Amino acid sequence: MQVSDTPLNPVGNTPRMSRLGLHGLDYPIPARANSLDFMLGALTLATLTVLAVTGIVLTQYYNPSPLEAHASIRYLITTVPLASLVRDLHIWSASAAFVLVGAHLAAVFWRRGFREPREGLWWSGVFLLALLFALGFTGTVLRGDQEAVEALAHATAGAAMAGPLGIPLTEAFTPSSPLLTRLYGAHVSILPLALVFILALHLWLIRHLGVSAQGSARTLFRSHLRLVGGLSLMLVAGLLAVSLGAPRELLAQGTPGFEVTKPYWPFLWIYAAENLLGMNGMLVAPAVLFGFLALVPITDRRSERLARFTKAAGVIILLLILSAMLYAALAPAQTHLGM
Amino acid sequence: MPAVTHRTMPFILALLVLSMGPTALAGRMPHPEGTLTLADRRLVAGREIVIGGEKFGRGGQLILELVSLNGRVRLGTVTTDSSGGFHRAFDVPADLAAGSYRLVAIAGDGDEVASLRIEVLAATSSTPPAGAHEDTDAHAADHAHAPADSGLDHGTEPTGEPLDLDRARSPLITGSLLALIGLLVVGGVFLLRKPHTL
Repeated sequence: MQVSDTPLNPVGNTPRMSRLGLHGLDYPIPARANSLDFMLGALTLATLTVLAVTGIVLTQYYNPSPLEAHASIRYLITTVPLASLVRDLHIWSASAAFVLVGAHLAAVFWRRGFREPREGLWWSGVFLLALLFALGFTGTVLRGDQEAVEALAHATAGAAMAGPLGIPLTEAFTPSSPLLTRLYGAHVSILPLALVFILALHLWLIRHLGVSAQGSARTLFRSHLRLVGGLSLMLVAGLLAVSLGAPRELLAQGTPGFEVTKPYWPFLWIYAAENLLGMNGMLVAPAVLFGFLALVPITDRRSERLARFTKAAGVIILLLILSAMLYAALAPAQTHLGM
Repeated sequence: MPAVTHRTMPFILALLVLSMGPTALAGRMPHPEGTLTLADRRLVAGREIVIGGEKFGRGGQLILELVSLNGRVRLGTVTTDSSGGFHRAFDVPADLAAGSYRLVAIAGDGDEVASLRIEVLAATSSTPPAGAHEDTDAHAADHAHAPADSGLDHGTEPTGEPLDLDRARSPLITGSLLALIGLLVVGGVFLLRKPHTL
């Protein structure tokens, strides 16, 4: 799609808006982009913004020392009303981000939005998904409760299996700083910086290449932005309401050497793979998913037959992941370490 | 006073070099840096720990201290054996605050020659941060568990059950948030008007 940068002169474009530079938002985009399935990425961005703001607040109360982490969270839950709500909002926003990004991925895959010339857009999105999982994992571990201790034990066991690539995830990487403290550093600086960088690339590619919506009807980007803004406000209102009504729990301080919990729900499909394949499942399942996602733009363009196969494989993988999550949620907790 | 000539200058330079030599050598050859070993890096205040060391200078005296942001606590001194090692029990002070510390070995001239990161646990379960509600902390402490290898009496094994915490709530903040939710909904509805189509 060709994107015209020439500002139009739509209704409502006032001189004040021109002075503020807002007329630059008045470029045409396909009207189809105003449907919900084309706004999932923008809504994910809204949840990421909430996560960033709430995360900044939480850093004022959180102590990343292994022995103080759990106590500091307990402190903010029981003593600081606003911080307690901010924590709930942070966790609910993370869950919303996973749901929205999953739906966004499925929608783009279904409409084959990864096809030429948007391969880079797809790959940057896959990278963002991986970063979101990394942020989800590090965020879980920071709590220092039983679920966090078990998640960390799984990660270090996986890191040991990954060889040299896993060294940063082990205590042996450096004796000068605890692994939890380093993961906190990753959660609040390394991963968000990487996310912002890749997100900027993702957004720039969308601006440069346009969305993959079909149809000749056009609307203004400013109009689209208004709809996205409205939905984002409703989304934040919903997240706030859920945070008020269903605050997130905290388990007891973690005891190493026990496996009695299940992971944060976006990781349940990996947990299910561990139930079936042992510790190898922790590496195999993500490798299969992200390997497939990385290959999608390549296999799809080889032939029409391969394109159909790619689409079918994607649907099967999605159904497998959803089934695995359901199975892991219903099955009793199992031990995996040492399997 | 004789003038410094081009003949005396080389001697002066040679003297300077010779006098600075030992200092430079000392800078290049610090104390042998040894290694400290502990059976468990989580210590419990009031309990005894056994600290081992190796690869230090032979027959030297070392001071062992616990260092934190709040200051330094001396555990005691040891004298290394003929192989530069030692193995000795120390008492962790009972009033030592829980938290992160560095166990450091200091040579006779004050140089730090080994360091190990450790955690100190309070004598009874985990310690909540200062400023927490007393009643809530007591309640939470009932549910909290000390690490399995800390040597503490754990009570029960860990479970996946959430803590029953008394959440801090403020009517002002809750009311403000409800108002904010209302505003966001109104703002959202306002923005969700039918878009222009070209």
